[in-house]
Amino acid sequence: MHEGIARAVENVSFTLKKGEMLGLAGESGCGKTTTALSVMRLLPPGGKILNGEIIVDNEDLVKKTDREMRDIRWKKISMVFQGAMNALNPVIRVGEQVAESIVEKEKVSKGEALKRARLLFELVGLDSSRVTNYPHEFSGGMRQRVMIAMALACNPSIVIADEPVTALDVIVQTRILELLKELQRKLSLSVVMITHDLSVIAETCDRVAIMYAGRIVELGNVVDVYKNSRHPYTEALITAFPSIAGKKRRFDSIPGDPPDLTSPPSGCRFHPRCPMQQDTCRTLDPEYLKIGPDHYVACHHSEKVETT
Amino acid sequence: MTVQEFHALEVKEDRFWLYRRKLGDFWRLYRRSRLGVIGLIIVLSFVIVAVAAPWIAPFEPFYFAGDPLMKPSSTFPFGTDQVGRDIFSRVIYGTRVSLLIGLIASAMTIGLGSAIGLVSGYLGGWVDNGLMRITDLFIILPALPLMLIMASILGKGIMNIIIVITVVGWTSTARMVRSQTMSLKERPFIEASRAIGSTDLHTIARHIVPNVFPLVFANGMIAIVDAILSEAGLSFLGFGDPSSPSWGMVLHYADAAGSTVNGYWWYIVPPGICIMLLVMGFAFISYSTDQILNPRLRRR
Amino acid sequence: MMQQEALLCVENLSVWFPARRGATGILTREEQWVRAVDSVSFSVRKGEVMCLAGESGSGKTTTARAILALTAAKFGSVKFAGRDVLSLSKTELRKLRCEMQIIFQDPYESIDPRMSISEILAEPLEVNKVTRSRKEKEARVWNALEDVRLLPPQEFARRFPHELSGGQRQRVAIARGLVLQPKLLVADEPVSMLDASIRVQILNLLLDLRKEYDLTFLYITHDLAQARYIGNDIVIMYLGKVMESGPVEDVVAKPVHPYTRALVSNVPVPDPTLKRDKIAVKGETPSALDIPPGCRFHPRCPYAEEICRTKEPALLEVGDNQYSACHFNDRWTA
Repeated sequence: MHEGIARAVENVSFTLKKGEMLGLAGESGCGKTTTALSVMRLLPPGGKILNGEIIVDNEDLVKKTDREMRDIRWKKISMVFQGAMNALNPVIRVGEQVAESIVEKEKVSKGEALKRARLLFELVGLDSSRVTNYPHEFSGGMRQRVMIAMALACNPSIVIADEPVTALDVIVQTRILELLKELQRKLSLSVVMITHDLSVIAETCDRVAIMYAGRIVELGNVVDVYKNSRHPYTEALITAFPSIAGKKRRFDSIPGDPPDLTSPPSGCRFHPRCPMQQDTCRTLDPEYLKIGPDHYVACHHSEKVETT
Repeated sequence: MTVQEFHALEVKEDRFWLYRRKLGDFWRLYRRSRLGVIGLIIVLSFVIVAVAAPWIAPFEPFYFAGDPLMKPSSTFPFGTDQVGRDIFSRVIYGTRVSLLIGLIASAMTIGLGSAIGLVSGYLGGWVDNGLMRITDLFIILPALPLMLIMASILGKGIMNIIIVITVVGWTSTARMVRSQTMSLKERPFIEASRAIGSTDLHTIARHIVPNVFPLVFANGMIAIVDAILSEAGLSFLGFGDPSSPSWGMVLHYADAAGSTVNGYWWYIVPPGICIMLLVMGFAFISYSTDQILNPRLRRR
Repeated sequence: MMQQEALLCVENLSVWFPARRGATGILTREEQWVRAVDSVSFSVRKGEVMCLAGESGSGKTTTARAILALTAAKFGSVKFAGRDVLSLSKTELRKLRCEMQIIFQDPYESIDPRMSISEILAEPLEVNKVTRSRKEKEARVWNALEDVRLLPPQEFARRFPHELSGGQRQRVAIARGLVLQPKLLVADEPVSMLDASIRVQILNLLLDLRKEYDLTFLYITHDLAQARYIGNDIVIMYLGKVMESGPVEDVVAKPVHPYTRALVSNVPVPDPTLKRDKIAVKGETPSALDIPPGCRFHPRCPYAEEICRTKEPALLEVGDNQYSACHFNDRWTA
C-alpha cells in the first residue's frame, strides 16, 4: 500500500486551435483525464494544480477563483464525462436534466430552458418529443447523445469528451463520432477527445497528443504522429495495435507495465520499457522539442525511431 | 477504460481491509480514531471489572451488609438496597451478567441470522422463499410483547433470556447477510469458484463468508448493544433471573422499592449509567471498525 | 485436408430465461422468455482458437457459460470430447470441469481479493483433490506462474491481488485456468479491461500457451481486431443467433452477411490515411425480450425485404467452410 504524492501530470503543454479536434491518447494512469479535469478546474479533493497556465480567450484559468470558474464552466468549456451516460438520474426526465444546467447557468425560466432542451435534442439527432422520456427508455448510444446535448447546453466553444464511445457497440460508435464531427463543423466547436483507443483518434482527430505517465511524449498532426512516429512509445503503441486491416501477423508487445505515479522512473519515464534506452535516458528527462512544423517529441533519440 | 487514473491510489487503500493477516495494520488505522480508542477503553474496563469482580467488590452481592436504603457513604459507595445489600457490589457483579448475556445473546443472534441469510441468499429459489417467509413472520411479531410472552412461558433464567433475545433479534442480521450474499453471488470470483469445480459449501465457506464477515462484524457490535439493552429492559420488567442480578435487575428492585417516588437516586443512577456507558463503548467501537472496514466512509 | 476431430461440438444450443411477467401476465399465465441464445451450432477442432464474436446483447457470453454448464441451457447439446456436458450429473460435471476452464473479463473481480496468489492457484487443485502432497501442490502453482511469465514465481505466490497490476492479475487468472491442465480454455473478453500496450502481451501469451500445451480456445470478444489477431475460426452472433461463421480471415476480408459487413466496415482502424466507406446501420441492438420476427437483423438491415420480416433465414454454406444466415447470400458473394 503506497501513500504519497502522485505526479499525475507533469509539464504538459498543448494548444487547441479553433474548430479542430485534438486527441489526447494514452493508457490508464497516463494523466489524460487529470489534464482535462484540471482544465475544468474539477480536480477531486487532494488534487492540486502546482503550476502552469491554462489560457482560454486570453484568460488564465488557473488564476480564477471558484466563482469565476463557475461562470466559465459549461459556458465556455464543457465536458462529457467518462461513463456519464450511465449516471443519468433515473427518476428525472432527461429533458429536465438537460434543462437543469441551462437554468443554473443562464438564469432563464424552466420553460425557456425546456424549449432550448428540445432544440438541443434536435441538434444531436434525437427526436425532440423525447425530452419527456426517462433515461432507461433510451439505448446506450442515445443516452450518450443526451450527454452531448447537455454539454452543448450553454453554447460552449470548447468541449472535452472523455472516452465518449468506449462503452458503445462499434456500429453506434461510428454514428456518435460522426455526430461529434458534424457538431464540430456546424458550431465551430473545438473538441478535445480523450481516449485510449488509437483507432478512434486516427479516424476523427486532426491533431493528437500521446501521453505517457503524466507527460506528453509526442504531439502533432495525426498523420505525422501515426505514420512518422518519432517516439518509441508511439511507434510501439501503433504497431502493437490489433487491426482488421493490413496483413495478419504477430507483433511484439511493449514489455512491462505502466509506472506507479507515486514513484515514477527517473529520467525519461518510459525508459524501463523502451527498446532504445541508454544511460541518458535513465538520468535525464528528455526535453520537449519541436521537430517539424507541427510535430513535437520528448525523446533523446527521436531521430533513430524507425517507422514500419 | 476504467477511471484508474486517479483511483489507482484510492483502490490500493480501499483494498487495505483485505489484508486479513495484518492485524497490525488494522490496529494502526483503528488507533487513529479517538472515538474507537475511547470505546475500546470503556469496554475493556468493564471486562476487567467483570473478571475481577470477586476481588474488587467489597461485599458479596447477596450479603445483607447493612441497613436498608442507606445513602452512599464510604463503606457503601452506592448506598444499600431495600434489604440492606451493598449496591456497589451488586453493580460490580452485575457487570458480569450484563456483559455475558450481551455477548452470548448477540453471538447467537448473529450466528443464527448469518446462517439463515447465507443459505437463503446463496441457494435462492424456493429455499430462499421459504426462509424469507419465516423471517417475515418473525419480523411482524412485535418484539417487546413477544419477549414478554416468551419470558413468562420459559420462566426466569439466564439461558432463557438469551434465547428470547436471539429469537427476536436474528431477523435483521438474516436479511442483511442475505442481501450481501446475493450481491456477492453475482461477482465474477464466485462464478470462478464454481468454474474450478467447487461444491456450493466450499464456495460459501471459502469465498462468501470472508467477504461478508466485515459487514457481520460491524453488525455484531450493534447486536451486542441491542442485546444489552434488551436484557436490561426485560430484567427491569421483572423477567430477569434473581439469582444472577444484572444491572437491569438492580433497576427492577430499585423500582420495586419506589426509588423514583422516594428519591433514592443512588439506587437508580449507577446501574443506569453503567448500561449507558457500556452501550456507548460498543457503539464507538462499531463506529470506528465500520469506518475501517468500509473504506468509503473513511475519506469524509 | 485431414479433418481434425472436433473437441467441442455445440448443437442447437438454446438458453432461455423466464421473463418477469407484468400484472396482466400473471393473470393470463403467459410464459414470456428472454431468448438469450437461440439454436446456436458450431464446432471447435482440437488445438484451434474459435472466436465467438458479437456486440453487447448478442448472447456470446451466455453461450460460453452454457457450454461450461455455469448457466442452464434450455435445449440443445454440448459434446465435449464425445461426452454430453448437459446431461451429466452434478458430480460428473464437477469432474469434467478439470478439463474445461474459463478466464473472465475483469481482472479485478474474477479473483478473490482476500486470498493470496498461491491460495488462488492452489484452490482448484485442492477442490478437485488433484495433488497428494503440499510440495506437489506448490510445484504445480509455481509451474503455472512460470507459464504465465510471472517470475520469480515464489515471489508472486506470496503476494495479494491488489499488489499486482491489471495485466499481472489477468495472468494470474490465466494461470488459474491452466493449473488443472485442461483441454479447453474459454476466454471471456480477457483483454478488454486492460491497457492497449498490455493487450498484445496477453494475446501473445495465450498463443504461446496454446502451442506449448496443445490447448483449444473458445475466445469471446466484441472486438473483431482481436478476433483476427488470435483466432482461426469465428462465429458472428447477433441477438442470440449465428449470423455468419467461418475462417476468421475469410469472414473479415470477405464478409457475406449484411451484419458482418456492417460490423467490419465500422471497426475503426489506427491509420488516419485509410479512407473507408462505413456501412450505416440504424438503431441499436434491441432487447432480447423483443426479438424481431423473421430475420433478427431485419429492422436495422439496409437491405431488408418482405421475406426477411417473416421467415428466419437458415445458416447456409457460402464459401470454403464459411456459412451465412441471410436470404440473399448470393447477392453478397461476388
